[in-house]
Amino acid sequence: MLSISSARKTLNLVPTVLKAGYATAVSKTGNGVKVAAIDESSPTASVSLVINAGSRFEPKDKAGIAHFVKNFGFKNNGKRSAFRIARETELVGGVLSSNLGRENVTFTAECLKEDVPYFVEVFGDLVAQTKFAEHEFHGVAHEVASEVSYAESSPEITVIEAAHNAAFRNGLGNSVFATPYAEISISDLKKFAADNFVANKIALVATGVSEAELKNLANTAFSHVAAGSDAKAEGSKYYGGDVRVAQNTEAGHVAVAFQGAAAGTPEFYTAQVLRSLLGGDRFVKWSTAGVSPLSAAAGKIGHGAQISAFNFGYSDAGLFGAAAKSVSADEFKRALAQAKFETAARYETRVASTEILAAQAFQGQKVSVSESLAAFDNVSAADVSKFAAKLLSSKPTTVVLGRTSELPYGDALF
Amino acid sequence: MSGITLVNQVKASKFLSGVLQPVANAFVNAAGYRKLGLRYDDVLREETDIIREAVNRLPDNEGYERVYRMKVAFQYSLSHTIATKDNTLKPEDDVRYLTPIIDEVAAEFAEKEDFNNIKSYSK
Repeated sequence: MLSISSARKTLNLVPTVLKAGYATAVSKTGNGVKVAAIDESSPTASVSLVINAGSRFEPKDKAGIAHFVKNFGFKNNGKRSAFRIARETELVGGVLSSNLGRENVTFTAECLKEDVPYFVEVFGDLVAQTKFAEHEFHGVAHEVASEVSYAESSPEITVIEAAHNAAFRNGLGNSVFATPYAEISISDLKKFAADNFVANKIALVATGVSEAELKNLANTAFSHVAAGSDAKAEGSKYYGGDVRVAQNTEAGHVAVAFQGAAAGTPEFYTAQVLRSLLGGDRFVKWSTAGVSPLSAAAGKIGHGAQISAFNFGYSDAGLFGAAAKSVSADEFKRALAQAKFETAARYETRVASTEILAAQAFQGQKVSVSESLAAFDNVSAADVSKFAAKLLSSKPTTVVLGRTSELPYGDALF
Repeated sequence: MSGITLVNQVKASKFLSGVLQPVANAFVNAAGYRKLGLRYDDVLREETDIIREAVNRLPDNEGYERVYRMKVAFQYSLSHTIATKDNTLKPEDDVRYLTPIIDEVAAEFAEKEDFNNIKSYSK
C-alpha cells in the first residue's frame, strides 16, 4: 500500500495495523474507541494509534490536509511539549513513527513492554489535546514540502497516485501527498482534527500487551475523546480513464489498472493470488526457476525494463493492475498476454499457494493474516480466471509518464 | 521577571489594593511610554533569547501593529514631541499581549535546561 512514513523503517515485517487481524478479539472502550491487542512473547512491544482520517476524508478544497495532520503527530499538546515527548521517548528507548495511507493515518511507538502505558497516554493526548500551534506550523509545512518534492521526483509514486486519481477521482482518488496549490491554514487543521479525531474513527492496536490491560489503559487515555457521529463515508465509485504526465525521464513509465476488490472480501484473496502469479519480483536472483511471467518478460525485454503487478485493497474498493518501466507498448502488451496465459496454467496445485506465501514472507513483503492457507484454499483456478475476466470488463485506467509524445495511448494497449 | 513579589497578596486584599493601585497608576503615567503611543510590552528589552523568540511567535497582525507603534514612537522622538491628550494610549488599550507568550517560551527554555541536566540512574 502506498503510504508516507516518517522515521526509520521499523523492524517489523508485519505492519501493526494488519497484526490486528491476529487478535482474538477486538473490543471497544466506553466511548467507542476500538482496541485490539496481540500478546506476543517478545520483549518489545508496539502501540499504534490508527485514525480513520486518511487522504480519502479530505474536504474538496483542502487537498493535502491529511499530510499535514500526519506530520503534526507528537507535536505540542496540552500535557507535554513536543520536545518533552521526544526526550522522554529517547530516555525509555522508544521509536516513534507516523504513516499516512489513503484511509488511515497511523502513529506508532515501538518500546519495551513496561513503557506501553506511557505511550497510550501520549496517544490519548495526541487525539484530545494537540495544540496545533501557529509557530509549529511553519516547521511542519517545510517537512510536508520536502516530502512532496521527494514524491514528485519519484516516477513510481507519481504513476500510482495518478492511477488512483483517474480511477476514483475524489475520495480514494485524493493524493496521499499534499498538493502545491491548496491553501491550508492552522484553523483548517484544527477543524479537520475536530471532525476526524472522534472515538468511532479511532483504533488502538498493540502487541506485547494483554487485551484487558490495553482496554484499561485506553479507557483512561481516551476518556476525553468525543464520541463522533455515525455518518457513513461517501462510497467509492470506479471511473477509469487516461492520464498522461509529461516529465523529462529517460525511462517511460506505463501503468494499467482495473477495478479491483475491496480488502477482506474473498475476491481480494483471488486478486492477491493473481498478483503473486503475475509477479514481477524475482524470488531468487539470477535464477530462471520459479520466475513469474512478468519478470521473465521484463528480463527478455532487457535494457532496464521492470514490470510488476499491484493490488491495492481499501475498505470498499480496490485497484488491480501492472506497472512497467522502460517498456514499449508492444512489449507491454505481449508481456501481459503471456502472463495471462501462464497464470492459468501455473495455479494448479496447493503447492503453488504455499510457494506464494513463503515467498512473500521471505521477501519481507506484507503478509496479511487473511492470506493464510485456509483463505487460499478457497480460491480455485476458476475463481482466478473469472476474476481476471471481470477485471478486463471494467474500464481500464492507464497512466503514461515520461516523454509522452513517444509513449502510447490507453486504447493502444487494450 | 524573577525576585520576590507581593502582587498576589496586594490584589487579594481590598485595603492594600485601594491604597497601592492609585500609586501604581500614577507611576505608569509618569513613566510616559503611553504618551508615545506604546504599550508596556513594546518597551521590554527584546535583545534576549526568550523575548526574541516570543516576538517571532506573535500572530502576524499583532506583529505589524507592534512595528507600527514603534514607528510612531520613533517619529515622536525625532520631532521632540509627545502625543496629545486624545492620542495618548488609553489604559484599557495597554494590553500585555506579549507576556503570555514570553511565559510560554520561558517555560520551554526551562524545560530544555532541565532535560539537558537530567541525572539518570539504573534501577
